[in-house]
Amino acid sequence: MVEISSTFELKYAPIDDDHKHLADIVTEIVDALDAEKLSDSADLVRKFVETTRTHFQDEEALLASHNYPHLDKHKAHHATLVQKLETLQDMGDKVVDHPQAADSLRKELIYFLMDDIINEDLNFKNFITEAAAKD
Amino acid sequence: MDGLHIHGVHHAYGDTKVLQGISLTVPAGELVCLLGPSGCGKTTLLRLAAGLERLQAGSIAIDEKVVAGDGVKVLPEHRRVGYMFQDYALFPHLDVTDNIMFGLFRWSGEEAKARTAEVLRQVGLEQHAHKFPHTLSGGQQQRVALARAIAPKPRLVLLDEPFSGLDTNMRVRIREQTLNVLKEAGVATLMVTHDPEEAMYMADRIKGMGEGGNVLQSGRPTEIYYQPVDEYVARLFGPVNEIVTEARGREVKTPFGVVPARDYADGDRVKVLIRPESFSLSNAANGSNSRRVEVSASHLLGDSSLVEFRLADQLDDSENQLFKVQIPGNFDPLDHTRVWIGLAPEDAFVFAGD
Repeated sequence: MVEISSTFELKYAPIDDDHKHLADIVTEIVDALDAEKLSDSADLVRKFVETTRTHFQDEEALLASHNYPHLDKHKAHHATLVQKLETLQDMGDKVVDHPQAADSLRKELIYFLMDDIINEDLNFKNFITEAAAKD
Repeated sequence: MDGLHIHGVHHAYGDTKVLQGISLTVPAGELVCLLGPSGCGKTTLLRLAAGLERLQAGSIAIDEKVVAGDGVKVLPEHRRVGYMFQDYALFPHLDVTDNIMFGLFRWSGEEAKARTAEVLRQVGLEQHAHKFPHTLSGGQQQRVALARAIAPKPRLVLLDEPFSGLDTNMRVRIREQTLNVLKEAGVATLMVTHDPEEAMYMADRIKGMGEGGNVLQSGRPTEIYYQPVDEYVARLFGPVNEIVTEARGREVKTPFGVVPARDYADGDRVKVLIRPESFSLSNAANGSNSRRVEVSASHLLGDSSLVEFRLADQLDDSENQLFKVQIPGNFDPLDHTRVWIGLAPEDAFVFAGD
């Protein structure tokens, strides 16, 4: 089970809830892979990809509404991750016919969520909690 | 999540900033490699994770427990971190067994002896248990250092250029064994190196670091090698051929065919980077992108050859550029031999020119 521990929390509910939702989907994918339900896992990867895209859009709108000073840099980071999402989807589809790739997919999903998404979002932890406190 | 979590670490020595906002995650059982040139802050980050430097900004957590930052500072000896130094730092006056047992001072005598025997077996040094470090080869010393680092069953292992003191043959053998031992231990490992081949062999994930002490790109070895985000990251993996030109119609023309350049407008100056191993060399034209070239020199590197060449139809042009191709095996041509060079467009990287 993939859990978002306190060191990965921004302490800002809308974003933390999004991250937890993504972690739940990753857990579902890992469970499907463990149960060798590979077709289900490919569908779940698709769901993860779509949910992540929505998360990026919502987050960028939120940061723009608060005039986050490093928004352009964060958007550029999202752009590189969108390319990685295509790789993840490709891996998810390939696992259906190549079960031996399940470990790689599992590993990449966890890095993508914890290292690529959440670690970067933690950069605006102080900014967003202070902005929210002013609202 | 068990493992190492570093977030937002900044560090400076006086006015010199060595780390600027580094964040990374190393899940338990995984090996993450920091790849970058000397002076980019890699070793400083290891020392911060070990508690050998005072954290100035950011936070470091091991197995979800904050060990530095947020007003917390856990002493190095309480972090359960195994640190393997670049020079191994073995105690010269202690034999192999006592070097390993040194870190097991909290264990009972019998448990420490049993654990020492176990790790000596893992690294294949049982027969050297009572030898002193100076009587061992470099590779054996490296394995003693590894055994000492993992003996206390740490939650995190830190490896600082662990193979740099070994000769080529030894390095290949020892890194394979080291990787096996670490994977068997299931411990989170953060390794630093400036050697791209070492990073690609060892790492589950590579973080390419810039000279400013920041991470420029993170990804699987395949991803970071074949899809570098910028020129700096592309060059981390070795010398490249460079063609400076202009974009036109979302593509660039090179002597080796047309390469896509979707991010560039007409007239933009761009650099096309091509790794020597991305070219193919053949005795006959192979597809429309093949180009006739004349070989200037060929250097046998052991399992491959590095071949220098110029475009055959521009030999009188003083600006005719020298290119390099690396091919498997021995290529020992006569002087001025003419061959064909090919390039798959997707193997060329296009970045903004200066």
